[in-house]
Amino acid sequence: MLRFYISLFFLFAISIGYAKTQNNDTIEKFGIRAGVDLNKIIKSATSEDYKGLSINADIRIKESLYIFSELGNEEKKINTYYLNSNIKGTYLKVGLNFKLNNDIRSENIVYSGFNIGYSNFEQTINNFTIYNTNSSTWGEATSYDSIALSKLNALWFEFVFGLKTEIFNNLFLGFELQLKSVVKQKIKNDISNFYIPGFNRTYDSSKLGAGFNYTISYLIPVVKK
Amino acid sequence: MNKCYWIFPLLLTLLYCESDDICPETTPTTPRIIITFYDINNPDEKKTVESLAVYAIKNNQMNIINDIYGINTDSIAIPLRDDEAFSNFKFYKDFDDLDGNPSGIEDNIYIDYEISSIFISRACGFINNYNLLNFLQQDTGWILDNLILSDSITNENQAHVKILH
Repeated sequence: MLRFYISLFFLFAISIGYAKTQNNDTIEKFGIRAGVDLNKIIKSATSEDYKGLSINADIRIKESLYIFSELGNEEKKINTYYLNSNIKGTYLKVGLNFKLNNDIRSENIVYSGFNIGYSNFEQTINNFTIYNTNSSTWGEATSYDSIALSKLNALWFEFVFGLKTEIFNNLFLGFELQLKSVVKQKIKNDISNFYIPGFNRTYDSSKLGAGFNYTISYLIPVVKK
Repeated sequence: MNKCYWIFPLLLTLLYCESDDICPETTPTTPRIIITFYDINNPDEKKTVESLAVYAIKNNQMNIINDIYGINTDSIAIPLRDDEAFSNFKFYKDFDDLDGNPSGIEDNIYIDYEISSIFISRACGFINNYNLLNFLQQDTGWILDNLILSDSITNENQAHVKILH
């Protein structure tokens, strides 16, 4: 519930950013914008099952084109009735974002883009209860022999849509939605990867995934024209 | 372009709704061992056991296997123990339950096996498959001989053990 209110707060803050009528500021700022994912920080603080941090940066290379990159580290516990597992690893994303709006003040941007993501991670199954619908006779059996699956990796593609608004001079708040699809992944012992750092949770029934982030970033102006 | 923005959140919502965290009941489960009963005098003929009951014995406690409780049948499926690589059973013929005291002709069965856990899915986790090592009977009761037909227990499609009586 807390996360819901936090989401609302950010959406609210972003809409205020947009509602502010700005002077017709024709200054076009080019430079490196560096930031962190607030969602990961909030999740790390509020959830027992998650620890994560990521930093990102974008560089404006053309009027409406940004090169984007993100580096992160995540650790996630996935617990179901039948198993208890732990996934941790690092990831890197690189992509291009296209600014969609041109009528609003230049540093408030609505954008869409795509990223390629790659993660190196490991998955450990700490314990598992055997799935047996006839367990009424002997009782359920749980194995505590942990299964360590190391040196796993995954490559994925994501389509993103986001908003960034300047809340103070050169300080931006952003919200981004991501729709993803696994291109390639390494699986060991025929055990599927339950979570991929940077990708988010996976689904047995499809290669698709989704995610979102809230970022706070600072634009270091390099060129003004 | 502006009008297309709503499509994206919609796709995300659809994706989040698709949950596969619950193990569907149709998922193939850990197989039981299938035992068929044959005539000792005519080893190719199936022979029905009259009023058969099977108890699982764990820590000197006898637990009846629910659906095998005084039935006439020539084949049964019984679950193996998953927390140990052996299972003990008591097989009753001409079974009767007199106020919780089982009576009839009894025989002890001891099975030992190797367990391998096989990953099924995120929601269901693992099932066990077994490799039968020994199927031993006590020679004093109604079971006269047995034969392992298939030592690999990976499904319930065919008999694994033949009991002659």
